[in-house]
Amino acid sequence: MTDWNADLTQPIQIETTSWESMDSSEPQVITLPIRVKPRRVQSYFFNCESEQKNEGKESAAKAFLSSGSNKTPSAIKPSKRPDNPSRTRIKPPRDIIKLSDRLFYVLQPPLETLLASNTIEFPFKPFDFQYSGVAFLFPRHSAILADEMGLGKTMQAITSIRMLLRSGYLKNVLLICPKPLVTNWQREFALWAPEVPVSVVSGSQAKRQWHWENNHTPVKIANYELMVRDEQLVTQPDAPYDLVLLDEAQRIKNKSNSTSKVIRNIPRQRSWALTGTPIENSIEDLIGIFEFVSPGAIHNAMSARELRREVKDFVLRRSKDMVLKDLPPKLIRDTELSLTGEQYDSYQQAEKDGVLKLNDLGAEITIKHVFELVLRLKQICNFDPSTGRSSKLELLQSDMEEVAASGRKAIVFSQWVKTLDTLDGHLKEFNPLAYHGRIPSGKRDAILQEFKESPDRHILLMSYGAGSVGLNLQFCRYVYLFDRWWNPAVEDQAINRAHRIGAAGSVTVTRMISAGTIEQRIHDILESKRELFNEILSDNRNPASYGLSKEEIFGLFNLKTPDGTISKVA
Amino acid sequence: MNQTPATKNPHLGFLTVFEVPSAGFGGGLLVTSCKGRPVEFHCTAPLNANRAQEILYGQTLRSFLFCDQIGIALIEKASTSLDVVVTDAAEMIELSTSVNIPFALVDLDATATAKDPSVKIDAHITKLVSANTDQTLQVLNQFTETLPLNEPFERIQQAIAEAHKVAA
Repeated sequence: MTDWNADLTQPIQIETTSWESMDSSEPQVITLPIRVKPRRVQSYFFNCESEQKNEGKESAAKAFLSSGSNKTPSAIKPSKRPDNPSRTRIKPPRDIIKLSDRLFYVLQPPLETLLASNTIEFPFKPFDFQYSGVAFLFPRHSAILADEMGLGKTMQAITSIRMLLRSGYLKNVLLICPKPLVTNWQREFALWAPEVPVSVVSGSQAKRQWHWENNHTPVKIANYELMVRDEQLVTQPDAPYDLVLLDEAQRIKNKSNSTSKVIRNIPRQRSWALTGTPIENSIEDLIGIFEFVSPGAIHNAMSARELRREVKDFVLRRSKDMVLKDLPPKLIRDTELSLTGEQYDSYQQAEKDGVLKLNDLGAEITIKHVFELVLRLKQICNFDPSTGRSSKLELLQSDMEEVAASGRKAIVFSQWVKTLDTLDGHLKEFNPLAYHGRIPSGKRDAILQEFKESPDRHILLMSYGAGSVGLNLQFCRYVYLFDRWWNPAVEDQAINRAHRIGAAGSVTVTRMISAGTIEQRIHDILESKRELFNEILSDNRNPASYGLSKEEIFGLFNLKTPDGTISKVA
Repeated sequence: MNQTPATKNPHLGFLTVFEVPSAGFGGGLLVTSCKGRPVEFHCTAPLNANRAQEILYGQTLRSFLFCDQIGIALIEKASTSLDVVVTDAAEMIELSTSVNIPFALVDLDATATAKDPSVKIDAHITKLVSANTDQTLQVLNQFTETLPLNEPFERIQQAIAEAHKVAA
């Protein structure tokens, strides 16, 4: 055991061998760089809901677009999630340049959602195109809403104002409209924005002065006629208006007109114009309106293409045909008729004598003289004064046989009651009814009722003046324009008695034109204007309202206006 | 089902990836309130994977680009606390665990009922990753009372198009 322990204590001998150097190259490492550099992120912050209170217009505006309002007016409340899947987006206008500002609009939820969640309520559900109109106006400082009459420009403007008032973008709005429309605007505001206080600037000089200087109602309504009289007051408010809105803005188409000048001088942040007829006579009309909306943006040296490009972002124009898809088609038939022999002789003689007479007047000639001749010739186109023959009547009688046989009804329009009376005598077999200015207003409703309900009454003889506005005759499938009105807008209003929401089927409109006569010359001028309008405003459907200018009326007979030479039109 | 109290003012992040031909992938994150109103918007410039990344990540390259490069960068930029992220890119779902935020995957074109039978809330949801499903569903439900879940993606697309238009 002792020996064994002695062995354990004996040191171990280990032999080691060392090499000074391994003399070997290091293993080769190949490095593949996986560059994970931080991504550059562009960030935009729109609002913090806690910061919305009392931070000026910008944040208040964002508050509207970013949160619900506590106001809960009592009316129809749209469902939060719209039944209609269509989504109307607020698109930023071209003059908003900063990307963050543009994204602010682009990233908003659809307008329908914004309106619903801000408890903006409507008495009727707006059409989709009306939402689009609001989305167009809302972000714009310069805008022309040029929808065809009857599409609700008023409602679209009021809703936009309502949204902007709630957002804090607007505090003082000046609405200028023709005097007869003031009460209509008050009524429309009460209907579409009942919570918005509106006041009318009117009355004596002292009362108006008080209104201009001390009345701080959010929306003031004034008429065009006041602008010149109250120039000092309206052009020097305490603070610029947040919005000046012009209704029937064609009233300022003439740049040199004193009303236009005053209106252009009103200090303002936003300039909106409503008109169904941005081009009445020539491109100068549109330029005149632009001088208010966006001064200098367009001028008359521009080509149609340049104009179209330039106005595109400022003007929204829709026609009924474009937006009311469920409306049945309207078939326009321009029927050129040759005068009867007797009519032709009478016409030639009257024109020859009339032009001679006009030339004899020399410098004394006025537009009234020319008008008289035009009216005389148009009457001959209707009926020959000596024999009563009429090619138009012959066509109408022939057509009416078919209309009556099919159990349908027709409306015939003329500008003269005398013509309607004559037609009445010739169309007895169709049991005509008459509706014009000489019919007492108390009897008119009964006439329309009988026309609608009696299957034997196939024809209604109407004057443009009495029958063009506010009547619903959508059960009629045929409309005849026996003679043509000066202004296509009036003709359209007449046609729209039958061609409107609720129409039973397609509506055939026959526009009677006596070939080679004054009627054809007027028609050609109006058509050329329609083309100009369509070219610039990209509206290839409905006509605008544009009558004949003084030069064009003189030009119908190749006459010179007292101011200088004019070109031959026909 | 246990009722979980809903977050008072929840915010949702809508996360998407877009491809720009020859420039690669970019991403956009729209942060909204539960009523759909925009609060923040973040976007990245498009990026392409380099050759090494293509080799090494192989089939997981898209996931790497979407999650590690684009998604994480966007979510980290959000200054608002997100209650749920809604994405239309399946690869992004992986991010849920790393950022600790519930994720919902949506099919933007879906019109039929939800593919995930546990999710009855919106036809567009196909997958939900959440530690607290009830609460996440309540947040999503608040949003879908006003808008469908695919709607904000339209806005992101338009915003990106707008940004490109301005940059051009």
